[in-house]
Amino acid sequence: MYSYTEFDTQFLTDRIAEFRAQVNRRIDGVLSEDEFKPLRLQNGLYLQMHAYMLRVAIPYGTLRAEQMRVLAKIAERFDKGYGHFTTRQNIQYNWIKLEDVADILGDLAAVDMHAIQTSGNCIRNITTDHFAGAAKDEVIDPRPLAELLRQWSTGHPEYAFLPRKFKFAITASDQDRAVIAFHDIGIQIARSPAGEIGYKIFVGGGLGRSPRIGRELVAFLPEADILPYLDSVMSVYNLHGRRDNKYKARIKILIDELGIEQSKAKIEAEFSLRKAQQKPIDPEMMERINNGFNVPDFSQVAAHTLASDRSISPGFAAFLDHNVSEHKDDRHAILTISLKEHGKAPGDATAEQMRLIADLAETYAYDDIRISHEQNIILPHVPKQHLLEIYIQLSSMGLATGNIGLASDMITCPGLDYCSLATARSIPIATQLADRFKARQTEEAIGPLKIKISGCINACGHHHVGHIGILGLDRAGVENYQITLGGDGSEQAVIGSRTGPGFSAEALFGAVDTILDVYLDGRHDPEETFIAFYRRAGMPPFKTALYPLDDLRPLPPSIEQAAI
Amino acid sequence: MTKAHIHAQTQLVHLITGNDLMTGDVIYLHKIKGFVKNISQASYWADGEDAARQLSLVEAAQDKITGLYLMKAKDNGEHIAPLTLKEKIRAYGPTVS
Repeated sequence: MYSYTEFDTQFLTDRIAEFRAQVNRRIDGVLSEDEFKPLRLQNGLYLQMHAYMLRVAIPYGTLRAEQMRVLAKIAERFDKGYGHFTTRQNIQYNWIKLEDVADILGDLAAVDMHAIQTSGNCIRNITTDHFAGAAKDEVIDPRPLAELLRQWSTGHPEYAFLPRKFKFAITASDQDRAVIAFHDIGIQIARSPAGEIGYKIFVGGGLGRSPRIGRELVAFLPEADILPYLDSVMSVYNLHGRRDNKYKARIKILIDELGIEQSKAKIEAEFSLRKAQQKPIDPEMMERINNGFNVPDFSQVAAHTLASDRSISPGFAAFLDHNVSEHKDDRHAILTISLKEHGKAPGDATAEQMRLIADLAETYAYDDIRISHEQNIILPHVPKQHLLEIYIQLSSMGLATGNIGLASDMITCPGLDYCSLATARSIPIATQLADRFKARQTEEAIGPLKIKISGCINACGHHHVGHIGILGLDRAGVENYQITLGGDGSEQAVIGSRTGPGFSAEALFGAVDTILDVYLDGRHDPEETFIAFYRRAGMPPFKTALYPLDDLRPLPPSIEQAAI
Repeated sequence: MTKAHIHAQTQLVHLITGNDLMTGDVIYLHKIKGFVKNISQASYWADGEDAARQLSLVEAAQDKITGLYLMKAKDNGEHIAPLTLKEKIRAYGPTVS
C-alpha cells in the first residue's frame, strides 16, 4: 500500500498540533461551540447521543496489520473495547472523550492514519472495490487512482467549505462492488478499444432523503485529464451548489435543478480553461503511488484444491461456499470475514477480533486487509492452502460465520441507540432478524439476499439499495418501519420501491417473513434469487400478501413499549 | 398510593439537559449540585416558561456543558420518566449491548 512520505507525516503532525490547540481553545472558552463545531467535524469528531464519536479514515478501505492493531489499542484504551466499521469503509468509535482526541490522533499518526475529512462539508473518504488488486474481473487496481484523489482532496483549500459533504467512489470492474451509481461522483475505470486507460464519470448519485442514480457526465475521460476534470466539477458545484438549504445542498440537487446538459456545459467550459492551465501529474509521484500497490509475489505458493475440504465440517463448507471469492491467481482466494455473527451488532469488532485479523493477515495473507462498505473485513490475497487454518482461528472468536451474501449479512447503521440524527433503532432490528433466520435455518434456502437497514432518512444503512430495505421512522412518538423492495447498489443501480404503510417493530418481523414466503412460494426454482424473482414478479404479490384488504386490525405494540 | 392516584398526579415537567463538554456524557441540571448524570436527580419545572428562563441563565453562566436544551418528562410523583424514546436512550443508555 501507499507509504507516507516525510511531507505526509509532517502534514499529520501539523494537523494534530492545530487540532490540539483548537480543543484547548474550546476548553478554555475562547472558541464557542458554534465556532468549534466545523473544526471538530473536519477532524472526524461528532457529538452523539451519549458521547463523542470519532470516525477514523481508512482510505479506500485498505489497512495493514500494524494499523489494525492500533485501531484495536484505541478501542481498548479510549473506548469500550470495540469499533464499528462503516458503510464508507471507515471505523467509528462511539465512546470517545474530547480530552483524549488529540492523543488518539497522535497514536493514529504514528501508523499513517488520521480522521481528517471524515465529516464536514468537504470531500470525504474516497471509497473503492474491497476486492481491488485481487478481483479477476478488474481492468486495473483502482486504488492508485483512489490514492491520487485522496492526496488531491486532503486539505484542498478550495474544497474545505463546500455547500455540503462530497463523496467519491471508484470501481474498475463491470461488476460494481463500490456502489458508484449512488455517490456524488462515481468513477468507472475502463480500457478503450485501443487499450488506453480512461474513466467513465457519473455525477449526482446519492441516497439519503432524495435518492438519485448518478448520471453519466463523460463516457471516456483520458487518464491524464482526471484532475482538471474533477476540479471543474468541484468548481461548478462550489459556485452553484445551494448554501441556503442544507437539505438541498448536495450536488444531486444542483444537477436536478440545472439539468444534466446544462451541468455538462458548465463543467466543460470550466474544464477547457483548467486543462490548458493545469500541469500534468508528476510522473515520479504517480510512479511512487503505483509502486505502493504492486501485486504481491505469489510464486512460492503451491496449488490447492478446495473440493475435498468441504467435507471437513458443515461450518467450513458454508464458509467456503459463501465467504470465499475467486481470486485472479487460482492458488489464492479472496476471503470475506463476516462481522455479522447472528445476534451481534452488524459491523462491530472487538479489539481482540481486530488483533486476530491483524495476526492472520500478517501470517497468511500478505499483510493486506480491506474494509467493505457492507461492513465486513476482507483478506484479499489468501493462499487456498491456509483457508482451513484461518477458519479454525476465526472460529475461536466468532468471526467464522459463513453468511456472506445471505440474509443475515445485513448493512445496518448505528441508529437511535447511538446516533443523534436517528428517528428509530436499527441494531435491534438487525439482531432479531438474524436470530430468527438462524432459529428457522432458512438462510441457505432463501439464498442471496441483501437486507439494508437505516435508522433515519439519511440512509447511512443504504436501505434504498437493499433487495429488502428497512427505514426506521418516528410516527407520533412510536417507531415505525417502512419496507422497500427491489433496490440494487450494483451496476444494475435501482432505488427500491416502498411496499406501503410502515410496520411497528413487532409487526416488522412478520412482514419480512411474509415477503420471504411470497418469494419462496413463487420462485421458479432455488436458482432464481430473491432479486431476480422481484424483477420478474414485481411488487403486486408482495403488496397483496402484506396488506390484505380485509385485515384492519390495529398495529401491535411497538418495540419501545416492549424493551424499555 | 393507588394506581389511579398516581395516574391522576402524573404531570408534564421540563428538564434542562445537554452534554458534558469534556466527556460527552449526558447531563441534567440540578439547581444546587450543578449538573448530574442521573436523570432521577435532575431538577425540573412544571412551567415551561420558567424552565426556559432558567435555561437562558445557565447557558450564559457556564461553558463546560454543550448543547443545552429543554426536554419534557413525566412526573408521576415517584419518579421522572422521559417522554420520548430518544430521551430514554440518552438517560439509560443504548438498548443493545
